[in-house]
Amino acid sequence: MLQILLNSIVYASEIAVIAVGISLAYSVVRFANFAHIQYAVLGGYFTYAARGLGLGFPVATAISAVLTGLVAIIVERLVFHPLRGLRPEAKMIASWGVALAFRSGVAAVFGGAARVFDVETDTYLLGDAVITSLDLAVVATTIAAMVVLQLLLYRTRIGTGLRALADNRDLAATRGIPPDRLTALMWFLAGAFAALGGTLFALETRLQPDMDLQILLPVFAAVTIGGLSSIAGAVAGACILSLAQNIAIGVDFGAVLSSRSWFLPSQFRDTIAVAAMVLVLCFRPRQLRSGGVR
Amino acid sequence: MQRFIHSMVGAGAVALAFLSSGAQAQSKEPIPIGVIANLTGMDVKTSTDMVRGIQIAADAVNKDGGVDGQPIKLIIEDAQYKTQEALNAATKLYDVDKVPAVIMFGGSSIELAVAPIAKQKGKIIVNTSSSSAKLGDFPGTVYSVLPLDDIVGKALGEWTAAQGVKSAAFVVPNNTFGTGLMDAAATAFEAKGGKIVAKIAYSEGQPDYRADIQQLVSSKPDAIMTTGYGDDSRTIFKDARTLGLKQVWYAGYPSILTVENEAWMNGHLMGVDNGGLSGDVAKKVGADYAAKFGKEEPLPHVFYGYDALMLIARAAAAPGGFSATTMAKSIDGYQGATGAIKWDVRGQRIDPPIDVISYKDGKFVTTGQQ
Repeated sequence: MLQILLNSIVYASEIAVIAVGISLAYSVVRFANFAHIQYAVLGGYFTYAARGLGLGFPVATAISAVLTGLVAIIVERLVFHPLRGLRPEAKMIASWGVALAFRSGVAAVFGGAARVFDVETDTYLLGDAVITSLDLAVVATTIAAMVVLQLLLYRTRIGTGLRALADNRDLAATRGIPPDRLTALMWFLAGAFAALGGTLFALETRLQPDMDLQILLPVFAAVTIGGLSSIAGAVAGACILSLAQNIAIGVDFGAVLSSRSWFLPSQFRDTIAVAAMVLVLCFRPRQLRSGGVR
Repeated sequence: MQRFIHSMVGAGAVALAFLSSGAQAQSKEPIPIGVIANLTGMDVKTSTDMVRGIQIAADAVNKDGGVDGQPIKLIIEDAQYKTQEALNAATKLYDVDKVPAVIMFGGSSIELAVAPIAKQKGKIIVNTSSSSAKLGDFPGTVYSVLPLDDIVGKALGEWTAAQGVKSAAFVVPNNTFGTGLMDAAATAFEAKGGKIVAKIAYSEGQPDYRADIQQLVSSKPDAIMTTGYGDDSRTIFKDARTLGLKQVWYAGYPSILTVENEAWMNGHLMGVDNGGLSGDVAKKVGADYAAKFGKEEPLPHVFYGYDALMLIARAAAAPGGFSATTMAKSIDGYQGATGAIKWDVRGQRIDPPIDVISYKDGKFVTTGQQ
């Protein structure tokens, strides 16, 4: 059971960093940005490319976060800003188109084959459970990123402005808060967090242009569970989803009922995510309509 | 469907081959030959190498004046390792491009979906990579240049038992290739007195396989029997390493597995693989590969792709032109890059050379024949 818990924490860490970016963006611009998942993929590739230049992981990841944040701002100016008068559904569909364009672009530039970060890991035993130095680094990085985001939102004027913008854009503007500038900052933060999450995900798995298909469902399930506009909710949603998935595929259900071992096949991991989303949409629809950065 | 324009280098080389062909070859209509491979998505490296082998063969044929003066023209489509994309590609190749034959890289489940279409249209598939025994259900349509799983699986099971392994757990991809080879190997292993303690068939394309590997750990096998390919196999090995597995891996087709950590895997991966790749033809193809694509070590798929195109060219050059009949006879007297080829009445390779190979010091080495 400890192993399942550890696996859950590591997986939740990977998707939580990506999920908070979606929540941040939704709280300000009120649409679910599917291109956000591709920002994560792009960020992973930026980090990979920076590593290829001989840079250390912290520097490479920081550069990746900055570049991806800038890409998110550019996409906003070129695509979402001109569409700002349209309904959220239209912008959501446009974001899917952006995501597809990015996927093709990444494949064209970096090739279709998977790439793997060359990392050496140490393995530690906790009873019967195993955790690696990479797992610990991923969890620590996620916690640090969440602390930084929390401090930014609740201990700075920029954060106050962002929260005001999320609560009531017009009112915030009348109080002297520059909405366009803060919206651009929000996109930068969302892109940077996506890049960080994509890098962590690729470190634990691999980089490939269609990696977004592996990320999309768990990340959107996490933000749906936690409430689309809630950053804390996105983190909680990631933890709940990850725990549910890992229990479902990690528990020997056969041994519980008989002497014969039987595990739920791992491909049902996505089914758990879909089921969680459906349940939330059925029983907590109001949560999805509420606004504000929380 | 995305039409894949393969590498500029490859295309340039093929164009160069056309230009350098004899005047006779250029004066006649080219013979279009279809290629369906996974050039994006999963399993890209193996598919790419198969295409390269085909290109080397096409270059050689065209350099010698083509097939009775007709140059070979390759039309390459990307299946993206998706059944629907492969079906779209096959339909285009057969109906629009009017190719008489398609050289195909599966996997098995994809190739089994395309085979009925080829059969219905009276066309040919030359199989270079898929090994499900079900491919034998399409006589006159599917011709395989590699042996199917029932042959290699049996060899794996018997050879593993002969190494003194008493109990084993399987970890294979959950597709017709993986489970087909597992079933054949398990039957042979148990017939020799071995015990199977777990059968884990993992879903392809998962971000990690920790849960699957943890099941494997809990079954406490003496050894692990496996097959797979590409990126998934690398992720499996990575998770096995980080979860502290120490067992030896006995594999069907170890050469198509992607080793994740050389030091950890050194001496811990061995198995049976398609053999016959050390002959003169294979050496010539290997040299051509190095000259055309650099010093990268060619995968066995290079040689299977090469033989596939050469057999099609031989069938096309036979009296009466290309047909299922001439295709079936194309192996007569043929000494290919993968050795002499013998087909059963279904067009499936039998009595193949099978090598025993081990992973040592960062590369696979042949240690014997099965």
